[in-house]
Amino acid sequence: MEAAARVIARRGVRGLRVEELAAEAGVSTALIYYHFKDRAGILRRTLEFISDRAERYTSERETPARPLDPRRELEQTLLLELQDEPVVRENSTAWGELRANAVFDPELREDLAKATLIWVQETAELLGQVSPMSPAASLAASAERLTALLEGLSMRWLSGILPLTHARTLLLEAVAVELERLDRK
Amino acid sequence: MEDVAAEAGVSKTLIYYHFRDRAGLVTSALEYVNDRAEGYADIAEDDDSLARDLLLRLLAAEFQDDPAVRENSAVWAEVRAAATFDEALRPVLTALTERWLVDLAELIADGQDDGTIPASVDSRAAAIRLTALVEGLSGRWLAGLVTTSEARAHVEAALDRELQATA
Repeated sequence: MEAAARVIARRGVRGLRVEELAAEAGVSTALIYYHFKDRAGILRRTLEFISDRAERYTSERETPARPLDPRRELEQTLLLELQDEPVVRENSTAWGELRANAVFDPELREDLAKATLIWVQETAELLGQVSPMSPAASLAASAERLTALLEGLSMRWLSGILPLTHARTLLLEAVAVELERLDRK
Repeated sequence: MEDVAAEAGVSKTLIYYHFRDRAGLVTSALEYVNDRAEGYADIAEDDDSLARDLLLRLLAAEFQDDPAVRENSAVWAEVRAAATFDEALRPVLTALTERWLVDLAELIADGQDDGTIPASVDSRAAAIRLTALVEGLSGRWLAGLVTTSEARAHVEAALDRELQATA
């Protein structure tokens, strides 16, 4: 799966060739077909893989003496998507590719919809811990905006238009703006 | 290139003659959809609406149940994603993004002049965030995860939050 994420991040979904994937993973093409059945199978499993991996790198903490307060927890979780680490770059590039291709691929679209929904719900939960009195609908709408903004900023960073530190600052300001409004109600 | 030639009903040679290579073709396509997008919001030169209302119309116009708007959005999203691994696409994408940002930042500055937008708003930062949000939402909208009216409501809410006075 790591090989698939690497190849997609390097060449895009359309550049994904089973031969190259097999070479990258050091196995035969027959084995790839045996495991994933077809191209759609490869894309689906790659999406699962990068979602799980993102889950891991956004929840890893250097075991702090005290747990982070809810606001810091929210900020950290979002900011960990904007890190200059090869695995984050690769994950985000592959995610962006799958997202762009989902427009033309109904099966992939459904899987991507589920993955996005989980991400939005988790972000809404974190927002709810910071702002416990806010209604669920407001939290969900804020979470939708923050995650969509994060995707937009991440694509700009990855396409070399926006420096990473600037992207991080812009995201933190957006969190502040959303929280301010949630708390006011 | 073959698909484009077939769709346009011309030879592949002609396509290569005009656009030289794939990056050239994509660059021209992007410029074309971008010009077309500027017509969506349907804002006349002499429109004297308040800057804040113009901003909302401009951003909300990115989400319409119109095949041309969807097509534009899909082309833009596709090129943006491709630019992450194809550096040849970056110059045109950077230039068009910058033009979009400058347009929005100018409208925000107009709003600060006409008093509809607080002076404390950082026009450049707000413009980057609003356009990045539009792009992020666009992927979800095209995939049917977010409806047109939901996308427009998010844009309106974000604009409202971005343009509030800060202490």
